[in-house]
Amino acid sequence: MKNSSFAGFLDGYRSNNIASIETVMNYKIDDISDLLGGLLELINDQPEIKNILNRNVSILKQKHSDDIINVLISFGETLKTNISVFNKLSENLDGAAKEKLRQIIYIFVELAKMSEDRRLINIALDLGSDFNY
Amino acid sequence: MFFQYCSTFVLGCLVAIAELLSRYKNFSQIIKVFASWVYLAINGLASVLAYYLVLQFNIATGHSVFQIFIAGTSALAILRSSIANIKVGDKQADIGFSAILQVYLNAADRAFDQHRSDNELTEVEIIMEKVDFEKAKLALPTICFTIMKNVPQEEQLRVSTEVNKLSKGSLLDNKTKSLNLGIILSSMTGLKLLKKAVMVLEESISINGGPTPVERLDEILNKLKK
Repeated sequence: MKNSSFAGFLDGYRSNNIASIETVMNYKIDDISDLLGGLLELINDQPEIKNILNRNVSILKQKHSDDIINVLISFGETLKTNISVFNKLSENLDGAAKEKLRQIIYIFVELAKMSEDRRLINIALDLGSDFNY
Repeated sequence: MFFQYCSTFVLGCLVAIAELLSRYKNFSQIIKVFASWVYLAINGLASVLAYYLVLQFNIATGHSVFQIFIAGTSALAILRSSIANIKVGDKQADIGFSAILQVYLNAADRAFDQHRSDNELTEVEIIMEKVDFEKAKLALPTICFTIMKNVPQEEQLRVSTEVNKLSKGSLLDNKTKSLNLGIILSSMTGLKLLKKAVMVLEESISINGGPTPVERLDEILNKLKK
């Protein structure tokens, strides 16, 4: 199939953008993984939420084999789908765990902003409006 | 005979126009620069001289179209040739006709730049006056390339790199970035098409619209910081 007449511009813009921020994005994803690990330790008594968080950890591990934006989109979608669970968790958690959850969302929104990817930005906007601050 | 000489002159000029078009992209601007006319004239006259020599020395026999073609192309080849290539300081310099031609090409470059800067800056400033760079940086080039259809992929990649650098340039304000975006695009689209594209997208790329998605993300980040 012939590429659309503007494909070169959009592909070029995207690859330029991702290339210039990929290292920082990788570090930030590692930060999210660490925060998720810390959060998992703090909620040992809640298997349902642990399952969701473990799924998120597995998604982030795919960054080595998949496109970094796709990985973040999957991660964001999982967060978004379970936002009510996280909001409930946020209400019941102690200060340290709550702070970790807030930092995870913060870094994710930062990553969406850096990526300039419209799908990721939309997910981050939904998350931002649904998250119980 | 007059017709043959005219044809040879036109052939030389056409090749020179193609060369200038590949450099400046915009025909209407080329014809406004005096150095471009000198450049065209040199190429045309060289072809005429070559045709005269072809006739005088019977270099190519046959139909006059063939003679014109031989004269035109050989003159252009000779004009662009160099006998030697010497190093002056840290620069390479050609010795030959190409060096003379290069002087006029450089003059055309400068004149074209000055002429374009004079006129375009003011017009682009007016067109891009109400354009928000963050909203327009992807939408505006995309619509321009969609309309133009024949912009090569390499050219689009070059523009994407420039727009990306602008986007990352935190030292520049929104207005300067918008102006630069307009200048980059107008070099391909021309001012008319750029103006039309901005008009079509006015609602979605205008400064006066609501906050951009990125601005909304900033608001969320601020909330999360507290």
